[in-house]
Amino acid sequence: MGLLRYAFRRFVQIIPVLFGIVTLMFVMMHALPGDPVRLYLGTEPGQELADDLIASYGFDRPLHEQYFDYLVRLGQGDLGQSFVYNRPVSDLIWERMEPTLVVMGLSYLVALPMAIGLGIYGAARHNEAGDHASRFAGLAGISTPNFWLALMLIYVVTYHLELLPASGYTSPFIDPVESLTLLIMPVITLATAQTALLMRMTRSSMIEELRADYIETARAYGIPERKVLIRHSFRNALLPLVTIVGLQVSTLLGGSVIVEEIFAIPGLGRLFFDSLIDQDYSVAVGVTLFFSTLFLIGVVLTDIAYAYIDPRIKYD
Amino acid sequence: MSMEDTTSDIDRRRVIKSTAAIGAAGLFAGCVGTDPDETGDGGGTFRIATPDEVETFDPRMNQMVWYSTAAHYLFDSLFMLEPDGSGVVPHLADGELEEVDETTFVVDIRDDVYFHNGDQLTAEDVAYSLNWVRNPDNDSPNLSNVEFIDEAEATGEFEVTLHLEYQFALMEQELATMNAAIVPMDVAEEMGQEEFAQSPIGSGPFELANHDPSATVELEAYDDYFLGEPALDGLEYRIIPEAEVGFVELADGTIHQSSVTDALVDEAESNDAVETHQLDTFNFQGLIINCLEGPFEDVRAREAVQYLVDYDELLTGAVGDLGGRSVAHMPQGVVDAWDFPADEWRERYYPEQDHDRARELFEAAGLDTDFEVDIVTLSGEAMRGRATVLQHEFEEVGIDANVREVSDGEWLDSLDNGTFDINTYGWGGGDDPDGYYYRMFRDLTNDDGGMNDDVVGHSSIGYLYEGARARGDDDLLEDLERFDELVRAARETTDRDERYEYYVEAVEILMPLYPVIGVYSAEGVTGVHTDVQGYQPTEFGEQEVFNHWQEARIDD
Repeated sequence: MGLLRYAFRRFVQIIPVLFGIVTLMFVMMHALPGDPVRLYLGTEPGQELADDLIASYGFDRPLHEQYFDYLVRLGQGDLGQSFVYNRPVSDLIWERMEPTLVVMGLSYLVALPMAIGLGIYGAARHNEAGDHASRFAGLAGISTPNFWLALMLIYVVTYHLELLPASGYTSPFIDPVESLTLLIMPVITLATAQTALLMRMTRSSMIEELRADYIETARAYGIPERKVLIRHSFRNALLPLVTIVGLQVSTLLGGSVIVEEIFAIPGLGRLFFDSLIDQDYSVAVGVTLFFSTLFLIGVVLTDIAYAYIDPRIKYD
Repeated sequence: MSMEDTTSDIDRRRVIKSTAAIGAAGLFAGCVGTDPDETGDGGGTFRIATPDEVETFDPRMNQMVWYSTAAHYLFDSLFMLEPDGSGVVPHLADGELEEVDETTFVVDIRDDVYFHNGDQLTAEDVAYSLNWVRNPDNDSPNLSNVEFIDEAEATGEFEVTLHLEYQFALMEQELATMNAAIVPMDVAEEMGQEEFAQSPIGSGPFELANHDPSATVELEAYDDYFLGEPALDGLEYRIIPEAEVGFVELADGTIHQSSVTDALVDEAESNDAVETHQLDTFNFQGLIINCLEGPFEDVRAREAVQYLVDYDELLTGAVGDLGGRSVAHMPQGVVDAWDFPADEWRERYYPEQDHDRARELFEAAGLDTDFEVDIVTLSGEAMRGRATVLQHEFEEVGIDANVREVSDGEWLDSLDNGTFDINTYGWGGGDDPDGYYYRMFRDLTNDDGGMNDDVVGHSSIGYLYEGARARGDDDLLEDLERFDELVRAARETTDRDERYEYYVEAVEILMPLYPVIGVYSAEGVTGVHTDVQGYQPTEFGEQEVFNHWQEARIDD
């Protein structure tokens, strides 16, 4: 019951945070120089047409009125209408949600086991050649900009080796094989930095745990090293790792903008990027709201996961 | 870039993203002479890379340059541009326009055209389509392109009478564009604009099969097209934002046509699977100078900027061989086509770099070197590079200059607010002088209906007029009034010799005022995969994979 109450309370706490994010984004978008009508109509907008468009989207009203109107509609589940596409923002988000979630999800699926495996290996072989190699790989992974990595992958794997298609997206629910071939490079791009970061975190946590007295005791009792590593030290090393995994949702969302742009994946990252360029206010705020909600849910789930990982943590 | 894109439709993508259209320009085809009546199927699917998503499939509401081209596959127009751009041929029209008087024309419509839903295309549909765009209540962004039409009237089942507001030099060309696309009246009315934008019904050689937002637009051949069934099974537009990625897809044959960036031209030319085509994109790249206030208020200071830079070197540095110097604010192609006195103009208005002369002119304008020049530029390598070269040259003569790289919105604001001394600028004006001289330099205050009070024209030309008025410079005002009369008169007559004289006089009024300094006109390179047969891209042509002159197919 304590956990449920805690989860409920944490999810309720998301609401004011989202409210703050929406407010900030709404104000920031409207504070940008230029306006969407001008961007849409170009450098010589006819007076009548410009006036009509401005009035129909309410851009001529005071900002606070536009804001309160937006909040009222948001409260009713209406994310507004895209100025550029003349379509509901919720439809646009719905159409583009799957590719982003698939790429992000697969990146986690690739990054987590690799990071944990390499991290444990590095800790177990502390200061040996394998450890040095994994640390070097980790440093390289963190230091490599994902746009550069993406372009290099396309240049080498597609252009020279002709192994994989360079761009596009097919739903794994429609054609899993084609989908996989299209997703390999984007997932590698997005997962590389993730893997490196999580690996370094796992390694350092594990090294710390392996130096603890209880590990020495376990070894003195003759418990096999594999059991010492996995059951005893890794479980205790998980807490900081889980924290980072939750927070990394935001990094993945940021990376998805670049990855989707380069690999021509029709996801939310590209929609967000285009909405900023076009100053399509409703879309930019709507996608931000969606991304923020995802991130905050990730954070709450992380908090909840603590209880399972560390029985000493109680939710009151 | 097609005639329709470049002579009429003004939108931000033409001004700001003109380079993005270079890829689309490659979609225009030339004459290779396959008889469309001998059509079949099984010709494969032609896949084309395009950087932008479709915002609407409704040509009446479209602002995207690339879709202005692609829409020709879904919709037809009364006329069609000839592949060399020299004129138009009847398309939905069953013959030439018949002149009743200067502002009244009658055109017969073919009686063998059917929309994709099976309805016959009639004069009612033609009149409805033209009047819909012309009606200000419909908020079509293309209204300004058809405002020469007062009313289109169905005067028979297959006869339309066009009542014009004024005689328009580019009427037939405009009626060949997607600004004058013909849509089925009943369907458009029943669906409403929003639904029609997603589920378009036209009469073109292809119909919409699938749209995967931000990913692909798939078109399939329309069996009952009035010119016969296309050999291709379909067309697929792949939305690939990065041109480099599009090129990789082109090289491996995943797609069949893509733009090629400057950096990849050599790579493309050495690739056996790719044929490259260098195409004039009819654009103008230049520098706008603030004529109203600041250091360049005096024309001598503006002229000094002409002496400051080695523009030939700037051209080479910016685009290499993919471009040429613009003459009199027009691309070389336009100047050549009209046989304007380019050599004379070059000699008179395009001096070689001369820093001493620049200094003299600055001094004559009352400026010493203790002022700072604010150069504003959009992002993008070519524009930023242009601004940086200019900054360097100012510093060479001892004048401080700073470069501000701004967003699209800030850039538009700066044009209207005058918060710049010099601004980088690009414009796609097409192959007619009207696209440059009327669009860039007319006095907006003389427009019917008017512009927003805070709009000064997309080359900030309003500042030249406003500055003359503010200073009470009667001589200059008289020249400018004459200039405005000329560029307006030139579009309201169909006599080419008369138009020529108007433009020559207009050029010679404007050039010595240096409101905008022409730098170069960029060209584009498009790559076509060797699997494609019967297809030759050029700057012009519509429905270019299947039209009156050629028919493409994929030979794997």
